[in-house]
Amino acid sequence: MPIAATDVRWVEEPKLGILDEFYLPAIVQGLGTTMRHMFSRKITVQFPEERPTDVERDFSKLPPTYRGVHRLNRDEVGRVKCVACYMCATACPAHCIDIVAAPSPWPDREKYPETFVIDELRCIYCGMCEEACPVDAIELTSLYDLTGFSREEMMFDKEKLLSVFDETVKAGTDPIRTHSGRLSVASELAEQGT
Amino acid sequence: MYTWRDFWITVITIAVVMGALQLTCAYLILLERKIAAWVQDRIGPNRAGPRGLFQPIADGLKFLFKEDIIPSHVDKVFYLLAPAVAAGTATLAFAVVPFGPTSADPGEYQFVIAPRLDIGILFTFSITSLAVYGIILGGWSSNDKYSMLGALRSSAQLISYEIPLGLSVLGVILFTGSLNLERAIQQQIEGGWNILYQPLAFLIFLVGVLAECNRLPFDLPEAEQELVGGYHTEYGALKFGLFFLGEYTHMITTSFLLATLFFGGWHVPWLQGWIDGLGFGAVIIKLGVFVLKASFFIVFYMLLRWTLPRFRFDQLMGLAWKVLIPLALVNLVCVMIVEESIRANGLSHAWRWSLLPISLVIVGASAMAAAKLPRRPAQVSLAVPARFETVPRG
Repeated sequence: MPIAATDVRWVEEPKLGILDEFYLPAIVQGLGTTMRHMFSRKITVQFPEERPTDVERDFSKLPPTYRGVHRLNRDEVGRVKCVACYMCATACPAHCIDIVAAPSPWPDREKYPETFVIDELRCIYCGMCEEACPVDAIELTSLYDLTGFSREEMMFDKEKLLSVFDETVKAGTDPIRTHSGRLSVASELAEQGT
Repeated sequence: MYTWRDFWITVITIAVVMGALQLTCAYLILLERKIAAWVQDRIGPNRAGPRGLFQPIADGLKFLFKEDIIPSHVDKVFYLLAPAVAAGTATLAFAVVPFGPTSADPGEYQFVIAPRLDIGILFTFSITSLAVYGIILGGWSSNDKYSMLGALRSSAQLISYEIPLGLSVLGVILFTGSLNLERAIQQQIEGGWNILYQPLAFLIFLVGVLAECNRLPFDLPEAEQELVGGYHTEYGALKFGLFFLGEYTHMITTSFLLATLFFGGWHVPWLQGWIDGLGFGAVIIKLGVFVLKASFFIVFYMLLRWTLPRFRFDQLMGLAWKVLIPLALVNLVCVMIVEESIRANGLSHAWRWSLLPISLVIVGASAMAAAKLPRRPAQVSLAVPARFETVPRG
């Protein structure tokens, strides 16, 4: 959107007074800010001992928009929401999503993912898959401490991703984008069409 | 009369001071990191030992045991010479700087490596200026763009700050009547700290010294953000450590110089008589007071680093040549006039106090003149989005 002329205001560079020309008051003011921060509360989280989620200090909690491990959402009846449209795999800049589609066993959609594998080591956690998803099936949760002993272990398949959904729902750490329990507009339209 | 006893005392002093200096440098690096962290609302290094107190040892070991890489495209001789010059000159400059109780008369032990050197200040200035050779050699021989730019900036910086630095200290020398640093302390004990007489000279000296130590806001040769470390980009392991050592030694030297020239060295006003009567305790107290004054300046440097943005080198040159040199010259002339009138008319030294209002008037007048001078483009307009309210100036 171009910037309208009414959105622009012209300001003049302020004239420096005698006090400003001393420079020293400004430096003292700056030193004051520095000193204030020196003795202010520290926001460091001592990670292995403390965790951002269990520290009582509010400001150190992970934000609900944090992009961690993926999950595959379920609908109201516990089926995977995904319709195997490949839009997440196409959007993915790291090519870490591998989907094999199959005809859907359910009447409300044509396809469903027979396998759905995300290589969590390859993923760059950019969140473009969840932006691309037309049915809000894939989401990034705020799980941050993802570790494993082998590369194979870090290939998350459909069951694993669905279990991440179950865990995060149980723990009450839904990502902020969740429209939980409701298929999004795209899938509802498909329903009306049949 | 120079005896073998004097010789051995000097050797022992050098050994102890070198050790202490390097240990202090190591811990200053820890302090720097801690202060950097605190200012940024972080905790800082806290894993090695209690509260991170062993961090400098870990850092030192790391410097020692890292692979000593010499890039293939460097000029080997100068590349290896540069860190040695940087660290060597820095430590050499410390030789004449008093770091504890001294006396202008021979006899008792002096807390300075080369006591009663009559060219004290001159020696320090000439040697610390040599430290720039370390930087320029390092930048040139590294044979890459960033180092080269760092070295060039360093030379531009040198011709900016050295003149006001030297001029500002001339006023103090006129007071003392000697280049001897112990005599400078002695004179301040008798007549009061120089900062009270010549606050302007102190300010100019402080700015010059910041540039001399390559500390922000004048760390142009290093400039991590623009030059990826500047002149020491190509250095690793102990060679980089030597550059670091030189830099922090420089900070220590200049801090002690500031305390010596303007804050009366180990002098404590009003309590001096009581302290002098304590015998050996007096030595400890004086040492402590001196170190305290110097560490105040070191902490001040570190705080300033996180307060002021870096100058461009043309800005630094403008500040030095258009502001500091004229101010230093005016200050020097005023000191000369006052000193000469005292001497010619046989007035008491109390007339030196007239320099304090004179300094303040000079600073006020220059600020007023600067406010009156036209700026480059008289007014600059900026387009800002209307939703941002500009903060009214107050």
